[in-house]
Amino acid sequence: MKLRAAIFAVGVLSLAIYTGLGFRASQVDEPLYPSPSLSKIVRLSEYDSRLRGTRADTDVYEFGEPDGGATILVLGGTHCDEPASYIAAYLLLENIEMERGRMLIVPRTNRSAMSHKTIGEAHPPTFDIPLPNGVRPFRMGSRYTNPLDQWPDPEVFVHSPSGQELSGADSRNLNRSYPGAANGNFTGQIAFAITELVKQEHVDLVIDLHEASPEYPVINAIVAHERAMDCASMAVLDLQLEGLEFALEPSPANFRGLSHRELGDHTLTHATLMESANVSQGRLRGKTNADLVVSGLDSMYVRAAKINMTRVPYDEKGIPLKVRVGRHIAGFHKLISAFSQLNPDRAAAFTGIPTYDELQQHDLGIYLDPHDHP
Amino acid sequence: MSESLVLAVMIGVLCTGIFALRIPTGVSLLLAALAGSLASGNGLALHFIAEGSLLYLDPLMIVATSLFFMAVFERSGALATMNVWVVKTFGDRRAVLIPLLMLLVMFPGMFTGLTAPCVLTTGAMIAPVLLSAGVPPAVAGAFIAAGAFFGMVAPPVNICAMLICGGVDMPYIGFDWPLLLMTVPLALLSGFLILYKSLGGFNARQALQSLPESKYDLHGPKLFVPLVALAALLLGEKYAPAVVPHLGIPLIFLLSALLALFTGDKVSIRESTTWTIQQSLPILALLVGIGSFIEVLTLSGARGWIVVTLLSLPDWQLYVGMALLVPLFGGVSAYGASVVLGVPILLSFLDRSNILVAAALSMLASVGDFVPPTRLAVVLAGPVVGESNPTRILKHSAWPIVLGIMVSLGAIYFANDIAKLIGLA
Repeated sequence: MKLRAAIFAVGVLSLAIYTGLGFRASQVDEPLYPSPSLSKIVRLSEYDSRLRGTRADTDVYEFGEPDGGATILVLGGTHCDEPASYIAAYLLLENIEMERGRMLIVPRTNRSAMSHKTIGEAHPPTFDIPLPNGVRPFRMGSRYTNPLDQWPDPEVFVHSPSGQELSGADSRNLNRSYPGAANGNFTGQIAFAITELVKQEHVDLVIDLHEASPEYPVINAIVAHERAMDCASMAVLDLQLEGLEFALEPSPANFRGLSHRELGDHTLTHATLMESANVSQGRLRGKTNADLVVSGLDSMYVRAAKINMTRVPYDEKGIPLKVRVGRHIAGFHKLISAFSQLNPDRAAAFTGIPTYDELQQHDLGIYLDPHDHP
Repeated sequence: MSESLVLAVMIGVLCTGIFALRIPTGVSLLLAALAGSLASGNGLALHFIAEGSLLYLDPLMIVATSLFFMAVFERSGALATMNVWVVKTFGDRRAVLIPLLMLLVMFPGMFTGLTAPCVLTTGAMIAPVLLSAGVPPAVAGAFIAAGAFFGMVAPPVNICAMLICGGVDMPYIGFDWPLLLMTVPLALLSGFLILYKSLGGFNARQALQSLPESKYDLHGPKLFVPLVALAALLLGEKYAPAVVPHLGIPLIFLLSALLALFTGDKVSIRESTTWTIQQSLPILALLVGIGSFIEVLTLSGARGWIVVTLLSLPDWQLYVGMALLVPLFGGVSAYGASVVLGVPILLSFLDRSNILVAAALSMLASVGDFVPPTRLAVVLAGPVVGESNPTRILKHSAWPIVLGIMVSLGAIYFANDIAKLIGLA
């Protein structure tokens, strides 16, 4: 009996060590290669010192100088199981050349969420984007802050200051935690730091990049706070004129904790958020693997589309990562263009970022190749 | 191998393990997960098996610590004292006793959204009362399991409904009345239907003789300090967060158990811990196995196949499908059923009152706590009433299951009408 127990214990321990080493690999940041236009990199803890030395202390990349132009903040990786959000942010920071104004890019907004995966979702630890010569691996993260950083969850998450109640897991959801609080939980501290960043850097326009499952009602859309509605309306019209279907969604006033609602209400910025359609986070998806993340092609969603369960057109072509990133990049172009037209004295200008069509033509790898940008 | 075939392989291995080979359910679930990962072309997928095993880490700790609390609380003499008081006060009044006991069992679930604290705290407290009244253990277990089920669904905290809301970005507001109307009448009705016959010959004096003696004269009111501390910490965390720190349910149970070491009879920590491990180990193994099973279900695409197949059913077949598949998936995990099936189903009923539909789906998913392979409410009730065969308890649990499913389906079908009636629309 004791021998059997000992053998069992050794087996479990070996499995824990073997799999544990794999999980630790998720905690190593993949290298990023900022464009020559980079002015400086600061840490998020500059805006809330309590984050210093923690897994949430993430890089804020600054491009351009304060020259009277707009200051724009791009948030990628708020939810790290939404790859188009952070791949779009990586693409921006590796290619952008600022001509007027300042661009702040936080590619891993919830860096803690990038260091693990959501249990039960069976997401692959990494996925590869093909480069002209080889591949570049990227991590797949989670929607939630790593429980190693914030645990246990309460049974009910009560949002501060609104008092809104959500399920306990949402206490680790950054995009339910804005504006954050100085004495809040770990995720609330990240939200607080981002809010402080927006205030202290006088950010004019926030673009928070997200993805959602194809059955989710708010999809292929720009969500805008009241103050940003003119800017977002112009952007959506422009996008539609170019043949890209985008919906314009007003930020709901009674659903609290979201970046567009709280940054809009608690700061002077124009807060917007973009959603693209990602089957790898959908509940209707079939086999879950790295290929699904990149190809966006899933047979179960093809069936679901036939019974009208998807809110976006979906067929055997799927919705590949390059299309989803392309939509974010296109929205980025149009939002900044619209903001600049509406606020000519605070206009921003940049080069180096491909258009939607260029991205579809050249593929993502061309713009993410550390050695050979076109 | 297609998703449907992978599902068939997983269910086949699970059933073979449980029924043919008589392997514990937790181990059978792990074997089914391994078979599923092989059949879907993912090899042994140890990374995912290990990851999935932690899916229910929090409930796992709640089960272990709440059982430890009950062990210490009982051995301190507090439980017997409480039972004697209940029998003396309400023993001869069945019409009061049954609703009172039912509401008492429901209480912890209403504030935690879980069945385990109901069964293992208030359920364990009332079990001796029922048994002393001559109620068969399986019937007493069914009564406690029913209370735990309705407590889990009842407001103010219904985690399944919250998870469904989270999936569609809907605030958890306006649920109190619908959930109260859907649970309290059904709970009382189920309580009477399960218990009335068995309590027919209840004799309070006889019951008092079979109960352990009250320790109130020896220790006084301090016997109940651990229970008061438990309630204060559980409720205070939500209603007075500025005063009561967030400790988490497992730590709250553990602290209350430590308190119970000093408030009554002398308790042996070693004996209580050994009892806790013996009672909780099969349940913990079950939860570990379920986590891995769900992870592979998702990895292989079988999860998506279940959801799409259900949503493809036309009209009335969809209602039949919901009545069967949501509780069945809930049998693996009620929370999992809420997220995986509840959210897409709600999205397919957007023309109806979202609150009513989400509330009904949360109840349908929670029925899963009666359904194999986990039968969590029933399995937990076993050691509480001293019934070694959970299937016997399940046989007496038909009323809450049937009533729960019927009322849920009715609430979905008539969602808009009910919403108008209670002022939601």
